[in-house]
Amino acid sequence: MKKILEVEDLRVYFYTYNGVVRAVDGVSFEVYEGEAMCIVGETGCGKSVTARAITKMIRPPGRIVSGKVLFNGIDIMKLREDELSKIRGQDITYIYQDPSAALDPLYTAGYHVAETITSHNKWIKIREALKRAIELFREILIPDPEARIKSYPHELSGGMKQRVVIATAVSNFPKLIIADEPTTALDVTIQAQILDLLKELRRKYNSSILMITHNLGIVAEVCDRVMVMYAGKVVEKAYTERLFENPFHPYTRGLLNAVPNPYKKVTRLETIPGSVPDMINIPEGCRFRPRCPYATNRCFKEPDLVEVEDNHYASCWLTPGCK
Amino acid sequence: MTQGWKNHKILGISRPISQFINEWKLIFAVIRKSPITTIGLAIVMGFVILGIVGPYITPYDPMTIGVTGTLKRLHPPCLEHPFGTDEYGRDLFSRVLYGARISLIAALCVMALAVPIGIVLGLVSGYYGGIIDEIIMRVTDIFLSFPGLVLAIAFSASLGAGLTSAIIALAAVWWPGYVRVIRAQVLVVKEMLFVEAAKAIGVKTSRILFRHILPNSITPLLVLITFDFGSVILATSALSFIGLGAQPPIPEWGRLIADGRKWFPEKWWYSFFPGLAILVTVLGFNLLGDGIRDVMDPRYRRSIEIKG
Repeated sequence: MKKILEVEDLRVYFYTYNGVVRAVDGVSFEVYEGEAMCIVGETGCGKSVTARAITKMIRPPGRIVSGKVLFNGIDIMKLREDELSKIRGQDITYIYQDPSAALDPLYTAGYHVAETITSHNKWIKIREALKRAIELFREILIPDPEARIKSYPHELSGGMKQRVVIATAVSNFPKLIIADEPTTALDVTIQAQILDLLKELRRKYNSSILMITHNLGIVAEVCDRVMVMYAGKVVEKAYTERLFENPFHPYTRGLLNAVPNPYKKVTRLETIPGSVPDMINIPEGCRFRPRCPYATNRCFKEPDLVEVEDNHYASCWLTPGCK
Repeated sequence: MTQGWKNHKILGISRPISQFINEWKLIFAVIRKSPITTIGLAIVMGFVILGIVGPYITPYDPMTIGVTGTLKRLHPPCLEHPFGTDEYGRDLFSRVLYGARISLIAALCVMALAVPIGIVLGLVSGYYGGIIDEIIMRVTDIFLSFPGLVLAIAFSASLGAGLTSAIIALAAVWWPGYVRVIRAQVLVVKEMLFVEAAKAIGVKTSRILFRHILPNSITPLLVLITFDFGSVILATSALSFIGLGAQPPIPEWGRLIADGRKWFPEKWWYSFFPGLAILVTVLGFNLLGDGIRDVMDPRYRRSIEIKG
């Protein structure tokens, strides 16, 4: 399979008044064509920053310190701002967590879609773009699309707004859709609809999806492969099924145990003790050490990400073959 | 909904006409609730209408000397000349009426020059930040560190007396305020997710600035402009009063007050009526400005909507 996105040793640091926050610290991964990849992790582990760094959407005080992002063979990090804006919205698009904030309150739903189309296809008239918006709305199951393109964001429900955001994201048939917690702001029934829609669109347009979530249910539902992040580092990366069947990293195990399992009779769900480390004073060695039930003295040295089995990587001293 | 829709040029972008009508109905409902704003609106509308049609409805020619006959010099207010006459026998009512147009033109021109400068510099300064912001803000600080009117007098004097130079001088000292207001709004709006979302779909920076950030930050500026209309009229009159603005025989209000000083207080009507015109006009704009601020405040609007 062809790699559509390749991220190598990405480091994004935030130079704040209190010190340097190493939000993303040496993350490497790849997304294959037509695949759905997931990044899972707690709040503040660097998932969203990773996603934004892919098209250099990091604003001061943040800075991309090092790393290489290859998209279809193009090195994104070397592109100028105007070249980047040709890729954004055309080849790589974003779906945001909060659809009510992602839509400009002064413009109609149709305008948002039309703007995306006309920004990348100068020859398309706004009237034609709006016709395409109607078709897109019909495709993503917005009822009464002719009327809805004239609706303002405040006139739409949360689920409808997220559909509009998705319509803008897919309007130019992108190769990669980056969905940053697309269902977090929605209620559960709408969540399922939106996930079905994303799966459907992925099949139809053969787009790859990079999904960012903290919900393991969504991972199991949508994704082919998962990457687990903790405090700016990748701790485990595997095919979804393998990860759920055979997690190696204690953090991944902790996450999986914290989710109710209908096949196991438990009286009380497990939790991971402690909380995410202060990103300015990151613990020495393995970053999960202070919370890890299996921590030993060798954990004061940082473990490498090693391939434990075919396409299954983990970064823990307990995994076989770790140096 | 579908009816107003047909009247619209571009499909789906702008709201249907009926929604606009509702919006205006609401605005008028809010204005009607407050008698003070209603007075302000009435004064401002009266001023604008007189500014447009004033010169066509003057009972006497405001410029020509001796139109009312040489015997009627400095005639006190009477039925024929409600504001009296001046030392050249001109009808003061006609002159004050004509003056409305001068004030209206001056205020519009100053705004037309100062507002675009303020908007562009404020947008650039707020959006880009860094060294550009620093330079623009320090320059505006320099302008704001002088009393505006004193600076305007200096500019106007160096450009030579006349209405045009007064307008340029006032515009030159008026833009820094707008830069500040727009910049402060841009700093808030640019952090909103839809700006990042627009960037993420590849919208060009100039378009983000003018189509997304500006419309979302313009509200406080509209209120400020309404207030400033009054202030600019006052400032133009002040410049004319000290002889820098409009030159005779143009009947600028400030100029009329200055001319009447010689005869004050015996021929009180000469300075009194132009002064009253300035007072009423500026008051009208200030009252309307207050009202517009209420209309723009969603909490206040909501309470009206619930009652309505």
